[in-house]
Amino acid sequence: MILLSAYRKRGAAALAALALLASGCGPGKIIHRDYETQNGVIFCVNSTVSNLDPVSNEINVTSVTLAQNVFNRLVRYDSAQNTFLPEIASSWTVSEDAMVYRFTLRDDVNFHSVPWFSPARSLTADDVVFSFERIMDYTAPDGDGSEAAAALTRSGYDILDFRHLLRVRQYVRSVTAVDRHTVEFQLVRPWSYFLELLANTNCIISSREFYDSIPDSPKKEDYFRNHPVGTGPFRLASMKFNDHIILERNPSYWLDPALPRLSKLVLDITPNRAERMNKMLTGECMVSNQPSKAVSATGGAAKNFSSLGSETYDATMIFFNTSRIPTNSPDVRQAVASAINREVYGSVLYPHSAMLPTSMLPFDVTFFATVAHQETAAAARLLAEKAPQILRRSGIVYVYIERSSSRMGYNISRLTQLLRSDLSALGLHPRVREVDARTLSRIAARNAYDIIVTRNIFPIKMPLYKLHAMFQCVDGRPAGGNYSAYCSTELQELLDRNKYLKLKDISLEDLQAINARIERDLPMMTVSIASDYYIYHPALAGIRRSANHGLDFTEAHLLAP
Amino acid sequence: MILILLRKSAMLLLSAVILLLLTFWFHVRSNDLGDQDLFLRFLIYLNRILRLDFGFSAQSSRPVSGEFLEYGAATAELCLAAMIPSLAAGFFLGCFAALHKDRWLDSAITNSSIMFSSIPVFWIAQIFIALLAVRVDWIPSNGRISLLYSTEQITGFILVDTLLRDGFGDSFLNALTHFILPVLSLSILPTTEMIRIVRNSLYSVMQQNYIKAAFSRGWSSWYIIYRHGLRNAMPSILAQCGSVLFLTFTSVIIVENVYNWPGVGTWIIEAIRSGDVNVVNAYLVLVGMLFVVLNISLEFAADLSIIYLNHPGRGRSTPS
Repeated sequence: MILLSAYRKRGAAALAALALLASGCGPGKIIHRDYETQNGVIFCVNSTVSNLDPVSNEINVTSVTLAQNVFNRLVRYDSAQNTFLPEIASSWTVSEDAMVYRFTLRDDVNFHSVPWFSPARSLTADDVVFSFERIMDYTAPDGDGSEAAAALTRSGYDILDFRHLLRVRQYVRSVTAVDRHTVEFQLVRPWSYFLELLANTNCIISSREFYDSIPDSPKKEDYFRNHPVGTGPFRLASMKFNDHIILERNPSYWLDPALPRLSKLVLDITPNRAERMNKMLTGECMVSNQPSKAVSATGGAAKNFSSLGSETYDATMIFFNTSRIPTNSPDVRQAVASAINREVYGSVLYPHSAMLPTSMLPFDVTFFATVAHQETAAAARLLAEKAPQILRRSGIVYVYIERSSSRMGYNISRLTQLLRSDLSALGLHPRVREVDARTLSRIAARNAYDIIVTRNIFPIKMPLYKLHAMFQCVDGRPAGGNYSAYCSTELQELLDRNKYLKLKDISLEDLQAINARIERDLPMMTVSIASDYYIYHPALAGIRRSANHGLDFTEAHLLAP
Repeated sequence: MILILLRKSAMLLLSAVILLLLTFWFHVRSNDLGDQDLFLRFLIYLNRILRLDFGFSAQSSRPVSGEFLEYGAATAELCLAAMIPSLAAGFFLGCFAALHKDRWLDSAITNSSIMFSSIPVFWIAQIFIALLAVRVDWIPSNGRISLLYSTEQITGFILVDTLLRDGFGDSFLNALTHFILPVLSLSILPTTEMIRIVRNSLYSVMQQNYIKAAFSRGWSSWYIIYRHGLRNAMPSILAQCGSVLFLTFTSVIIVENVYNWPGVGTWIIEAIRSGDVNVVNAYLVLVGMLFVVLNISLEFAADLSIIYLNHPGRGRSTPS
């Protein structure tokens, strides 16, 4: 039939067009042209934030990226030169007794001009005082910072995570404005780590003028937290809670009017890893954190993604309470440890990015795996056979797992199931509960636990600092935060000697000695570690890592096609 | 005709009352209507529904009715964009199949539609992402428009908003490309259903003697289909179109979640996950009423078309 043959020709033409389409020879790279025409970048992040104030948010990639790009700090840390450089402060002096730090501020630092606020003046010492008073108020026992904060400050627990701001309260006696552009900090005692604290991403400088301009009401604090006014290269354009945050270029950035080079920076909140990878592969994101190794290896390789390593390790650790029956018995601890298949747990805890720990240390030390691990492997195998008998006599075991409050994809519920089933298989009757940080602190303070499981971040530049705090003892007694209640003079000395050193600067002998001590007594066990890193499209250049997750986009720009 | 209208109105009213009673029972269990007599509580509830007052969303603290309009616009736009090609394609393919019944073309169309109707929507959506979005740079797989463009709402329909803002510029093109995969995924099931409806309805009409008589007079197939076949099959097709709508609305929930389309589907799934009772209740009432109204409207249209076809003042379509 003539009609049908005409349809056949048209059908063939349509099929050919579809084939051409599927082969990728479409009407041009519209997706990437969007980035060029808008001069913007979309950064897919896995975490959400409860508000836009870095002081009251936990550390995650979103809050740190906001803090890094919307705000500035007094000083900044240059990892290449391993030194502190001026930022808002142009210079500083330290008294001979190291108790007083005096900072001279720049006089040309301007706050953002945004729809909800127009600054009438530039940054002064008053703003610095205001910012640090806020931090100290927030972390006060009756502030928003929680009972956990108060308990930790009283115990002298030094930790390097979102609770680091507590140390402002711990170490700083007062902050005063000497004159319009001079600020003085008086410390409680000398502390060599003080500049590191000031350089920390979340030690931001906010505007007192903006805070005072908000009418007093119960919602004043909420309004301040959700309408950031900083001095950074980007300012807030719009946001949709749990969905995206759009930052736009600050046209009057005090550091350099030519910066930032991007007009727009979008944080696309995508907690699901597969969805983030899809967006990278389809070009709907140019940067992503916590990528899937499988995708970035295959799909990413095909798309030639570049990667940017993180400066931190994410470690899940088990602490045995050595002051309580049954976990006070080394045999019991070893038996429990031998029951835990670290590879399985790793794949559950950090799907696609887990690294099997080759030691008990919560960071990657593969270079001495062959020495350290084999010594205990044989003993562990022997113990595993006797584990059920040993543990059957032990009774109920109380296990508490600290629950992360952010949507980071950390599979807490699966971890709970695994622990429950593994411990039950050993003949124990475990009570496994997930709790938040506040409740965990209360339980720890009452010594009402046998095992605590927590997740911690260890920075490469000082990995033992946090570990030192975890085994800290005062006058032979465990300090608050020493969940294992384990005191060893030898271990403390080793950790104390190396706590300020970068991983690459710590001697192999010391690392092996620390590991051997932990493996022998097993107060703690590292279940799994993961190293966070970022992948980004090769058309993007100039992005830098900031401390504690997050990226700095000040000098980021798109390369010409 | 007035009788038909009254009958349909009564059906609509009855369906609405049943729906409201069901959702009222759900609300009574949540105990936010006070402690009065049950009938009084139902009146309070009815008053709120008529004023479209569904309370505030527990997640966003915004009025639920406002959110429904916002998300509903996105879903309506997607459904409209998917239904137009699926109705058109289903219609023409159904006609082809009916015209060539029991021949290879009919077998090809029928077997293909059975195959595609058996494939789960979420699976096919993921296949499209893997085959098209990943390989073809300019086909996106998430959202309605790139976040690089301003998302200021004017009408709530993204294509209209981008046209009003920037004309046929980059933002409009970007929004258009975001429709490709969701529309492709969403239109498959309605197309297969439409093929089945049109094929069966048209075929049963084409078996009538007056149609055979028309063929014997040497008229062309398409003329016979248009002049006699479709007109007489239309009431049956219209009456069954409700199932096409039903398929579209149920599939859109899945498609929106796969492609992260900010519509009613993602809204309700998130509300169920977080236990946002007000949103779930609003969804049940509003979407339920929408289904009822659409279905009854289609039946009414079908009845009207029968009246039109059999009107004595009009030239009969069948040979005397």
